[in-house]
Amino acid sequence: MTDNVPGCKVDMAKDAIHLSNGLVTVSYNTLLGTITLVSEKDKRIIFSRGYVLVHTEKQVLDSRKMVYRAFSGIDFQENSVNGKAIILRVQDVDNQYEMNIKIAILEGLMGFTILIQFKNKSDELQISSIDNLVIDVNDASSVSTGWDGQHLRFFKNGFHSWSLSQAIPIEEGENTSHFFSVLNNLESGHAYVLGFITLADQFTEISAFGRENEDNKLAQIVATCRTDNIPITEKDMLVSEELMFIASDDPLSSLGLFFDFVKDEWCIS
Amino acid sequence: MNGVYREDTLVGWGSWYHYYTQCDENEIRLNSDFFRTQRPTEVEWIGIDDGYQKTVGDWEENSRFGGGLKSLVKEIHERKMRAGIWIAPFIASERSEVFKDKPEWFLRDDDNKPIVVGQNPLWLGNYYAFDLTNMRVIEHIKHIFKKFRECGFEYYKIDFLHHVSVEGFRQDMKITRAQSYRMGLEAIREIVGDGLILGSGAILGPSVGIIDVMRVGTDIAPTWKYEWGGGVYESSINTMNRAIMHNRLWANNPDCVLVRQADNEINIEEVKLWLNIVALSGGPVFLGDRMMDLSEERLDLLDKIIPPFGESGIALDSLEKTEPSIFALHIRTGIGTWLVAALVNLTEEPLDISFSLSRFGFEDDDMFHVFDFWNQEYHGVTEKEVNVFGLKPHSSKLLLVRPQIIEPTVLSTSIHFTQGAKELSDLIWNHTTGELTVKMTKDVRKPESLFFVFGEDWIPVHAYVDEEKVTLEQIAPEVVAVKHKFTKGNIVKIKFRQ
Repeated sequence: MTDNVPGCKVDMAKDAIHLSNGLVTVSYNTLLGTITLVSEKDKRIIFSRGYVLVHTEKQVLDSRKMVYRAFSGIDFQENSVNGKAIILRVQDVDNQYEMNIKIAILEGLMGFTILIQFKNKSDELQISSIDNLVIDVNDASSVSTGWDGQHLRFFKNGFHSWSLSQAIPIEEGENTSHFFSVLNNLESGHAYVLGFITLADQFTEISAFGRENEDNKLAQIVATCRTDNIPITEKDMLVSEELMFIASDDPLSSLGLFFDFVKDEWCIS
Repeated sequence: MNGVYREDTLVGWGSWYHYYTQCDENEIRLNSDFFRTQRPTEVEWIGIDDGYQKTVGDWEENSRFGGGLKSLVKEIHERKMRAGIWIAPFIASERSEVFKDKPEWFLRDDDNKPIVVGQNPLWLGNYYAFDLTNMRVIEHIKHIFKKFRECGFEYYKIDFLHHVSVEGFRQDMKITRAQSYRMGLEAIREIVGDGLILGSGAILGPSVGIIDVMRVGTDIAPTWKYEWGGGVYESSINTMNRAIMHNRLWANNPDCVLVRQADNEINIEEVKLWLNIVALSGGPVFLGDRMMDLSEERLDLLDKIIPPFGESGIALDSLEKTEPSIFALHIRTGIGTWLVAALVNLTEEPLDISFSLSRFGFEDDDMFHVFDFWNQEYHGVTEKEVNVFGLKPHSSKLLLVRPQIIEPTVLSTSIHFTQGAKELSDLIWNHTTGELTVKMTKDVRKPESLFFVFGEDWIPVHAYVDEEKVTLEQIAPEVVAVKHKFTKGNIVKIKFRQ
């Protein structure tokens, strides 16, 4: 592939497309429909087996169950930010629905962004939400934050001005933060900063689901755009907000960096 | 969509926290008069909060504002100040004419009935949220803001905004709740132009780029913690934890400062804790007391945080602790670089607090002077980290941490919480003559102290304010103070010998 953005490159392997910037490589497995993020420096897996969901009133479309068709790449520069993006086209087996998954990396960013475009090729349906990224935390996957509840703190921002905003231990069941969150391992120092850098069209949430046991507390991480059951007619489409994921050992600085992107809102969709 | 950043840092007064819904035009005048006569250049904005209107939803003046808002704004302008108005533009109470006349303008349930989104005893009943996908509603909101703008208001505190996020039937179901909220905000911005929009009860994400000043916590109150969340406790947590948004998405507004000496359930330690947090937030300072009732001692407290610094501290443990405890502001000015850190105990037990100085870019072998602002105490020199042990519940310390240098220099002041950034400039050390000079950039209302620190190579001999010789007070073996009623432009000079 061409490499017009210094430090950023795309590699096409047999069953995966890799997008890297020298700090991280984000990979989309075209057979499994999953996303993996790896640190370039030490080849540490930051997370594995992430995937995308689109919730309709009829069914849940899952990138892992959809068929990869093609991808295209694009270089971009906006507000002094250089980056490279890939747009992956996947379809359901009946060819009724299509997802375009845009994954982008930026120079100097220990992470990536992801945006989902849903296309309806069938009868009108309603979309309740789009999960830009779902990470199941279990023995088959890997998360650099670990999953021990005693060490993890989940930052719960709150929906509006008056909502209490604080770092909390993960509780059993759903823990939801609006707009952004930080998942922080106090012992290892490894953290995720997840948040949406576009915000005008959908309410957004970051959720951490907790198990009963403290030792393997963290069960799932989900980044969601609430699309409010709006109807999508045949040949119509719906675009999610854009999620930014940053892996960090200094989450406070990374959170500031995330907000700088919200301010600048580079957008190439 | 870009974050909003305004150069001006606001200082104002709002009627809510003393009068609640019972303010009247005469009390607005009296408070404005206070600022004109007592603080003529420091407080720019007068905010008329809830209580001027007939009811929530009907935004015409009630009988307590019989002279009319336009006339009142004119009077505020005559006092060389600017006027702001509170409104809850996306809701209406069941008692309002707009609700009675246009029930179809509101979010509806499965039975096509307006959805009750809240209940407020001060408004005497239920209230409802507008359907912002209805263009007639948007035009209605625009009409209200046109009227306010014509009255001469320049800031608009828009409140209770999040209620439009309630799920329900809208006129256009192809528009998401976020988009409808955004449409409401855009309509307001279109009318108020470059007027200042202060959002409260605002949905954070979709407000980016429209709201200039964002309330980042619940209502402050003259109490530590109400059951519903209001008060110093939750406001402090939110102001610290959301400090990182300041000047990135908008200017953070922590809410008003309350320093009243009467009818106040918070003690002086709690008052100072909240002052520290508001000060370090870098956001606007809004005063919330009936100004004429404040004692001189309480007014002095306000002087310590006005003007705002503009830049925010960061809460170093905000991603670790449920109740953050370290709020540190890195100050970089023409007269030096130092930290001001509020160490706060929001818990119910004594607390030990430590933080490393390494993340602020100082050299590993630097040593630091530590000075307690409120107690005016020099704590000596530390290296690498700052420690406070056994901090009492609901109390705080505001510490200056300044890198140690060989030459004599300014250590601190009693004037402003930044301890130099807003009240001093032109710091010059002349090694040949042994003279240290610094210029005052702020008038003070009573004698205040400047603190100077010097190494073992120098001994202070005399002090002058302009040409007047003044007394040097020894504070510690390496610290002296000059106490004086300084005026802007004064040159303070300390003569040293080796």
